Amino acid sequence: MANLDETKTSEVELLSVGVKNLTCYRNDATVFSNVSFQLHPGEQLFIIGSNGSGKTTLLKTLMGLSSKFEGNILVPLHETAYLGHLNGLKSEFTVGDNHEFWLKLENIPVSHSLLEYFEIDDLTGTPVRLLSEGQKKKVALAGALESGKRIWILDEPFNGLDRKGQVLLAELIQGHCEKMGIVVVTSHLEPVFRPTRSLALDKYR
Amino acid sequence: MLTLIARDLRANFRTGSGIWLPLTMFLTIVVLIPIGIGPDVDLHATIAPAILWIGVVFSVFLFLDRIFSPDLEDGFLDRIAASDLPLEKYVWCKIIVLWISSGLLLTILTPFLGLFLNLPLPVGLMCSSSILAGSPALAAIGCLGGGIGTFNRHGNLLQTVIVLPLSIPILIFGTKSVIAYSNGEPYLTWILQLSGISLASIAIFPFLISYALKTVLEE
Repeated sequence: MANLDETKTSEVELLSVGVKNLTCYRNDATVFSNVSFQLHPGEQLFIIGSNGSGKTTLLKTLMGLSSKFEGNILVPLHETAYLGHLNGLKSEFTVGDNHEFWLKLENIPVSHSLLEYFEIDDLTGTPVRLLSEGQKKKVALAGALESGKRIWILDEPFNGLDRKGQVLLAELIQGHCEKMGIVVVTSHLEPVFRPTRSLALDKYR
Repeated sequence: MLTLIARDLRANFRTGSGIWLPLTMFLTIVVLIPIGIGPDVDLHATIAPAILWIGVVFSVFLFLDRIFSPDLEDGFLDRIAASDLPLEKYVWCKIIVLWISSGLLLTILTPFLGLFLNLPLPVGLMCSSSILAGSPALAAIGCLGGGIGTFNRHGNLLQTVIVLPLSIPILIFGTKSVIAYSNGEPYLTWILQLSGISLASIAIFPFLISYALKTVLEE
């Protein structure tokens, strides 16, 4: 992971994620309306909502993957690591191949530090199709977050993880925020940590 | 980008079907048609360019459904679209991979299978170079079909309606060039036209295909 201390302080101060009066549509129906928030370095946003409340739609819109919205969005995409609720892993390849693929694609030196952090570094030679759901999630998270991007946007990252994995991820997120990163996370579960900010999407229907 | 091409080629080789099925499709067509026609050797040589070219078209279009839909289903495309890599480059890599694992392989095989159809080696080599010039366009058209095939509604129907008409000019120019060569007529025009179509499709189609994929990703 990139050493954030080396980045200029002015850049860290400028970094922010925000939306203003955001209304999203799906199949011509309004999913949620008038959502606004502004996140500064060091803050985490925990998006809570029932099934179908638009958590995934909100994250996709933040990442520019959906154009059916009204309102203003500010997300520095080149500084953002994103993982949707699907893992994007190729089942015929090994854990190591899958992990290294995403790093090579973004021209980042190959490192296995997050695989070690999630205690799955002994699986590097195993094909992904043989892994459990939780292990796949860990591989995908490691590949997405190892890139050293300062903003993390993660869709249901705690899904499938065991209690220990959830605690490890929560500590990773908090550690990232202490290094002036920004994290946006969705979940339909109660958070295992105390986020600095939270957003209940059900109120904005 | 090389990472992406290498990964897809490795996946094609590893699953086996990605490389071997286009080859077997090609072999089946080239072997079965002369057997069906019977032992008329002169007729074989006359229709050989058409048989070889039709074989190439079928082999390139064999897996249109499998070009983008696996990446869409496992969330790979979402991550690519959210990464710094432009979607057009990803599509371009897909065209290259489809071309290498069908068009390029068949180009190499064609002169030998031409002999099987009583086609003299020089004409076989000519046929192979026309396939080399035209198959990149076929791969681009195939990827366009694959991209449109991912639409939820009427995807497969649209795919057929778009892929078939687009591939007809390439088939005509391809066979025409070989026939012109064996009749001693000027043939270079046809090859140049094929190359032109190929270059244009590789340049233009990635933008159309990635637009189609973006529409699918929004749903």
